[in-house]
Amino acid sequence: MKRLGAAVLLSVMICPVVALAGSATKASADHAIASAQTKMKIAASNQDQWIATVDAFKAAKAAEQKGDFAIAEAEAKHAATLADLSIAQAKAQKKLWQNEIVH
Amino acid sequence: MRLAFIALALTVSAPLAQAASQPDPAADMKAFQGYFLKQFPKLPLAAYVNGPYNFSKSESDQWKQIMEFPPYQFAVDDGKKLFETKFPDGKTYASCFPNGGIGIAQNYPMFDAKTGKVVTLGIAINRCRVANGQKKLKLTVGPLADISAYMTSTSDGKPINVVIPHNPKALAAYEAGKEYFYTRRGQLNFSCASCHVQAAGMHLRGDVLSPALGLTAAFPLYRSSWGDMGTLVRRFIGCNQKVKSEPSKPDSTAYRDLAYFMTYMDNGLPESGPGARP
Ligand code: HEC
Repeated sequence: MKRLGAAVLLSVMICPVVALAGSATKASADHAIASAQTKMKIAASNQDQWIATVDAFKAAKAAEQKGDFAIAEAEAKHAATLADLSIAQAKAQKKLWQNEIVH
Repeated sequence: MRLAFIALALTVSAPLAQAASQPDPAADMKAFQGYFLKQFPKLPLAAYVNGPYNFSKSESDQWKQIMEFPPYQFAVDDGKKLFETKFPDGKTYASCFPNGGIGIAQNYPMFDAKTGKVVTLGIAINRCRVANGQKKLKLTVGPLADISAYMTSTSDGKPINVVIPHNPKALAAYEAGKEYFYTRRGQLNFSCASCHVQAAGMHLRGDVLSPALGLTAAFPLYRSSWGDMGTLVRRFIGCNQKVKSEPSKPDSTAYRDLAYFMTYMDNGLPESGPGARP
């Protein structure tokens, strides 16, 4: 149970890092969205897409549609950051999973 | 800062990984079952099919009461009707399965050498439908869960008997399922093993965590918290979401392989689906 507690605590500390971008335009928002999308494809192919990544990405798309480019860009960057974390997790797990095997 | 923190978490959590070795499913199963038998010396092997009820007196008392009128009985009855209903071409599900589909559920998931893929009972039911000109059913709930419930009820008590043939693709599917089971994923950084091996028998927010051994044996099952029947993949989806990970598709290779590994670990335990859970 200690391990569970530690892991939950950890994950709480990785909460959102949304900061509004200074001078976002449609182009910069679209760029951020495309970049997040590329990373999310990798995360999905690792069977390790985080729900928070998808939520941030959806928020980015919705803001983009409404013309809120600053929010769109910030949310897309947030999605990209979360996707990066999950890709790092999957990469580390490629080796680490073997330590959990029951012997 | 936060990045550094998770990087730390990912690296410190375990010592050096061991070198990969040749897949040996039979040895894995022996070790897996042996681990739990040692962990819970009072619990006989066959009792593992009862999952959480081994660890909570109040739940098991509740269960005994529930089982006087098993909540899955409707599903078994409906499933039997569906199973026996003719397709427009005059055939029934029985035509697609060995022994007319009776008493064979304990052999699933199966490796299909033709497609090189694992086939669960649910996927086999859908294949039968497609072969007879029918649309596929949802793999998680509804009529397919009912048909599975009926078919599984005809295997009651038979030893689970999943076979991993000497075929490189079958072994690869088994290994992929094993890797999936032990791999930490989602924002909470948990593997299936984090809860169902390392925390087996402990409580998590009012639930008792069932040991990984026997986890597949009572499916499909009626869960009071669902209010209806669900298949094993329905549960996979729920447990992925618990760790804040996007679930896979119900018929994905990932879930087929996971079911293959997990059910193989349960070999020898009595088939006990359909089941009921709190
Ligand atoms: C955060 C902890 C946690 C993780 C991680 C987790 N589960 Fe679960 N799981 C639960 C809880 C809680 C239940 C309901 C109580 C019980 O039966 O264990 C459950 C139930 C189940 C059941 C049904 C058992 C029964 O007899 O009704 C299955 C099957 C299952 N989990 C499979 C998995 C798989 C496969 C994974 C990995 C993809 C997984 N779980 C990861 C917490 C977890």
